[in-house]
Amino acid sequence: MNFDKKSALSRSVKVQSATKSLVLIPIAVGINLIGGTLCSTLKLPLFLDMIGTIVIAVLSGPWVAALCGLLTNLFLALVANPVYLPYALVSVLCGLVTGYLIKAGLFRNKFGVVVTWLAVTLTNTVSASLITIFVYGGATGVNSTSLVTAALLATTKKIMFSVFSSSMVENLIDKAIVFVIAYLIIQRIPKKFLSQYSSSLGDDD
Amino acid sequence: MGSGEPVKSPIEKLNPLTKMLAIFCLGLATLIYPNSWLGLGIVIVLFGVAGMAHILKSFAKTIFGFGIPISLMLFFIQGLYSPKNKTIIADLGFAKLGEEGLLYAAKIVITLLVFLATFYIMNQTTYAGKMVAALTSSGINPQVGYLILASLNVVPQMHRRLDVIKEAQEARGVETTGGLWARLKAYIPLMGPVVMSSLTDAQERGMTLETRGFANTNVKRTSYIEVTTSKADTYLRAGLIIFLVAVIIISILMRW
Repeated sequence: MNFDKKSALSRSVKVQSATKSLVLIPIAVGINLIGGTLCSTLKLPLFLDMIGTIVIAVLSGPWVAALCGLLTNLFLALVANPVYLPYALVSVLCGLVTGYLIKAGLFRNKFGVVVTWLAVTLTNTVSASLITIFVYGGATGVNSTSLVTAALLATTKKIMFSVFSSSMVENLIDKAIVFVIAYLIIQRIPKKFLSQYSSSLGDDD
Repeated sequence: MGSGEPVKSPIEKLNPLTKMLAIFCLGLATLIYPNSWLGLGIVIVLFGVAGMAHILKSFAKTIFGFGIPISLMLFFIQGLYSPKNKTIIADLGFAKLGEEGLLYAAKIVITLLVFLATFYIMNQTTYAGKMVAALTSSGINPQVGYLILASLNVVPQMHRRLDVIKEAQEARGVETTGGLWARLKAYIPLMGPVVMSSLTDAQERGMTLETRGFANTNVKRTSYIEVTTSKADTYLRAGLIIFLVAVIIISILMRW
């Protein structure tokens, strides 16, 4: 299963970070999941389950963020539904894209945040749609997204197009809100705390 | 993950690695087999296994709760709009129902159900600590084991923290009900403190672990959780592998 992949990953993660980064990972996984829970508590029609990944991408870099994405989906698969397992690939890719763009300095101003948002939306839409189509045949159950897919399908008759566009619309909105929230939260993290990690934000003032 | 029943069922006593092998073998066999009948058989057998593990009620609820909606959705998408459709069974006016799409959808649903069912049984009958102990004893890095266990433990803890913060912010006048915009605005005052306090918590955890020699290499780690491989485990593993090989051979023969 994917445990072999993970031990290889952990080796590369260990090279670039110590215990300090390691303990951040479960915390970030927790933040991801609590973000999702809070959404359902507030009855928001969104996911918002990427906040932890973004925060850890700022603090510890792309590969740790990718590992955090992987663990988030592993956890969801364990406690909620194994359907989430193949989507671990999506979380890993989103973690990497976010991490590398932040590393390139894009999180220092609002324009960069918009670029990161669009890049992550694109990554998420393409990879998640491919998994939905090729692993699940078009839907993973009855939820708002798959209903949009069904409605589009009834008018356009094209499976690929329907899955892509419903996922695109959903992702554009969801990721925009996630990035705004994560950006606002990261602004409030004390500089003193950020500076002890290999931060990509610390040197802008 | 289940905390375990007071009386241990035979399923619970199995080595976690045997159960993981079962997920892999049964899932893969269903995937490889050219039609859905084998998968259907496996799901029916798994109902029996769930009965043995005393989790039949919640098992059935999970299987039907997931199976029925996804079947409807996939039969609609694939049955009506699959490009593979050639044999038309019925004409609904706005679209034609095709046999190939329906069979494809049935195959996907049954494969998912086998994975869901095996996964669910493993989850409900395995204590998370035991699973991680089994994994570390079979050569997985103990730090990866820590990551999995810590992630599982941290979530309930953060839930409690979120509840405390929610009450505090409501006392301050933050509205957590009302229109969509009001609820969205409530997100930050609730999420911000959770993130901040978790980050300080992470710092404490890091220091605690380091003082206990967590980052030390070349040391043998001990665990109080004993993982045993019984005779039943050995037979079951052999049986699963033989089953998988047999299914692969039969599938190849059926396709020729």
